[in-house]
Amino acid sequence: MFELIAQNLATIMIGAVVFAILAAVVIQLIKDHKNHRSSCSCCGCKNCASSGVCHRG
Amino acid sequence: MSIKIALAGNPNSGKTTLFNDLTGSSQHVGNWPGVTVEKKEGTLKGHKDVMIQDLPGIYSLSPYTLEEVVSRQYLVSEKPDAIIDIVDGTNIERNLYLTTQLIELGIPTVIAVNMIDVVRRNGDVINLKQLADALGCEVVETSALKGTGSKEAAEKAVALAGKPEARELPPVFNGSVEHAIAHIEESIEGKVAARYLRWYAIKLFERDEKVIEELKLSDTLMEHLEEHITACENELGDDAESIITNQRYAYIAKLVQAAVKKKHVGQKMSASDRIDRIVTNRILALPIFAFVMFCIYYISISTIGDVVTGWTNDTLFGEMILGNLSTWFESIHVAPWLSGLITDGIIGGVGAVIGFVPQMLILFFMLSILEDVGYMARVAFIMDRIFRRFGLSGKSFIPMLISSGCGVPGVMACRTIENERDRRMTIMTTTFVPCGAKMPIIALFAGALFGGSGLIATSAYFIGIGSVIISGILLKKTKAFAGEAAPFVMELPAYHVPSARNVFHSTWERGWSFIRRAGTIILASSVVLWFLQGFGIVDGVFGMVDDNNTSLLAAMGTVISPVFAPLGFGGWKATVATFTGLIAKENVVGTFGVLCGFSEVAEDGMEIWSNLAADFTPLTAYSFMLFNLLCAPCFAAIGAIKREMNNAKWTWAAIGYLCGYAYVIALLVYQFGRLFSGGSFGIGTVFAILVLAGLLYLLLRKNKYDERIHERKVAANV
Repeated sequence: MFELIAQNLATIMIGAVVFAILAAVVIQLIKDHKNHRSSCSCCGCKNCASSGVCHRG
Repeated sequence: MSIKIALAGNPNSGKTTLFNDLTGSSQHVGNWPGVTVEKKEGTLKGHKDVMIQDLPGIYSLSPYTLEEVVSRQYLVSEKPDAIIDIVDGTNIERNLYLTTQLIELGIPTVIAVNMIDVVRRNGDVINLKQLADALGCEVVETSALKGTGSKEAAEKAVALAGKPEARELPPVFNGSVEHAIAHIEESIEGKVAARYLRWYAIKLFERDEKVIEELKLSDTLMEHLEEHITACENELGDDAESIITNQRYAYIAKLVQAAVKKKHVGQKMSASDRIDRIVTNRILALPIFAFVMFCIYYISISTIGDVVTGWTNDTLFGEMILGNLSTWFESIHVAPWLSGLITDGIIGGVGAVIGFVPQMLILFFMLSILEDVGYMARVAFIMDRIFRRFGLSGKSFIPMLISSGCGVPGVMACRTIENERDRRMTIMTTTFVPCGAKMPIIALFAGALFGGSGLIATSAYFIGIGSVIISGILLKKTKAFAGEAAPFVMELPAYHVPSARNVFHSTWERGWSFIRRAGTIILASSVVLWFLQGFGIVDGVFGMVDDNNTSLLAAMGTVISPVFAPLGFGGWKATVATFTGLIAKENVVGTFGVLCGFSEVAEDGMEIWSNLAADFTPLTAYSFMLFNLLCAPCFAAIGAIKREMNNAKWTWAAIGYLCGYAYVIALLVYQFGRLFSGGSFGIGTVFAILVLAGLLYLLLRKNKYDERIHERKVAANV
């Protein structure tokens, strides 16, 4: 078991980093969606001049 | 207790710049009217208990437009403690019209005479003391752009906030009107807050429908008020609303004559007027606009942008990152699948998009300069002349200007169009204008197949505008959109040197969101795509595949690809890229980055996009590019369309129309392009001829609804 881990240590560590980044991205996308922050090219609705009309309160 | 200070003023008088200056906020500032549609809030720097509220720009407190309704509703119902009225000093006479209405609200008001630097440069002098004495308000001079005077205005407003108004109102109206207003005030006393008594009385005198509806006065009382109003109208020989308007302007004219000394009285043209004589000239305007846009795309896509993007793609991503990373992975024995995921999937997809950031930044920088200098407002004016011929108004061009950055705020900006038919039509067509996210697609094909020609990007922009015009002609002949274009009134702001802060802020705002998207949604999509193109079922066994033509993605793409065969790009890779573009338009590029082996090609030291060029001819590439530029926008923009249409049927109609139109245009371009470049006459050509005939019929047929409108007008005149 330990031998297997030792042989694949680089894969496990780099894989963990990649997985963590992907998880963070997915969480961020879900958060943005919940906060009505669209993924448009203008920093989302937050900075849109008309944001108040769509997202009151 | 917190203090609320409202910023009110005419459109483009500098409210948002002043708001940003006072609050340290970074709201988007545009040098055209209508940037603010809804109020925005921020805390005054150094005063945590003072809230500054930026209201949409308005010309009056009459509820004719959405912006006026929003501002008026706020001022009357939310009762700010003070108002800073921003008056454009270069156009003081028209700006004071709103001032005379604001001071009737009974809220302590500070008048900020803005753009004072321009006033001085013109050699004009404004006597602030005389203005203050006449209007009964504190008056300060400001230059929001240079950041002078704004703090003083805010401090004065804070000092006045909440204090009862003991000032005497300026004598705007003559005796007869004041007599009628006094009677109305007497009749509604106790029914409205004492502070707003005079304002309500004047509005009732004007027979303001919204105020009548709000107060719900009894019929007997309304009849009584009507007697006073009618008596005044009979005496002055005009209707009540016109009496109020005329007397306001007469008062302002007198005041301006006394308080403002103009260096050049009469018809001397300003520098802006002289420039406008050329750039808005009936014949020269359009060629100048085309030339300006060509220069912008040429510089950003072909020259400086191409060099920097070439370095980012070839050297930074190709040699430095991918080369070193692959060697390192090999040396530490990382599993091939993980190495593939990172180099081919993540860096292939994200790197392909990030590579275009330099071009995007240069493009956004130049567009921001054009906006800030005041040229884009002229373009709306120029386009109004053209749009009007085809049943659209220049008001529809404002959302399109915004769409050149991003389709979402572009679609949202359509809400300022009062006419529902025009609003729907603008929502349906505004995403034809290529947004920032579509630029990498254009840059990719321009670089891979057209030698980096600036004409490709320029043609994409004008095909977008041309599509709006064609759609205007087509749709205005249908029952759902028939009708005359709404009138378009727009003030052309004076040209000014662009503010470095505004330009860099706007460039960074757009550029950063592009990078952010690459790091989030594009990254996630690239990983999914890498998996789908790297795995498949071979000989009944699921596993990694060596050739992505046998992958799951290829299987899915192949099922749908025949739909696009008549357009010239019937391969599964192009089909998949078209669909992933719906997630975000840059994803088209990211998809090709993953599918065309961005990393492998770079490692070989070959031209990054030569693999892509092998899959397309210039004609099929142009057809593919057109389809992706004109078809349904990304999901975020589709969501905005759904919100603005507020109707599932209309949303689907918009998506269907965009896709259908894109299909027709790409079909015609490919089929006729193929025929004229020596291709054989086939079933596709016949299909294209039939489609062209149908399109020409729809474009050239008589507009029966126009005739009906004309008949109705004639009948009304009779």
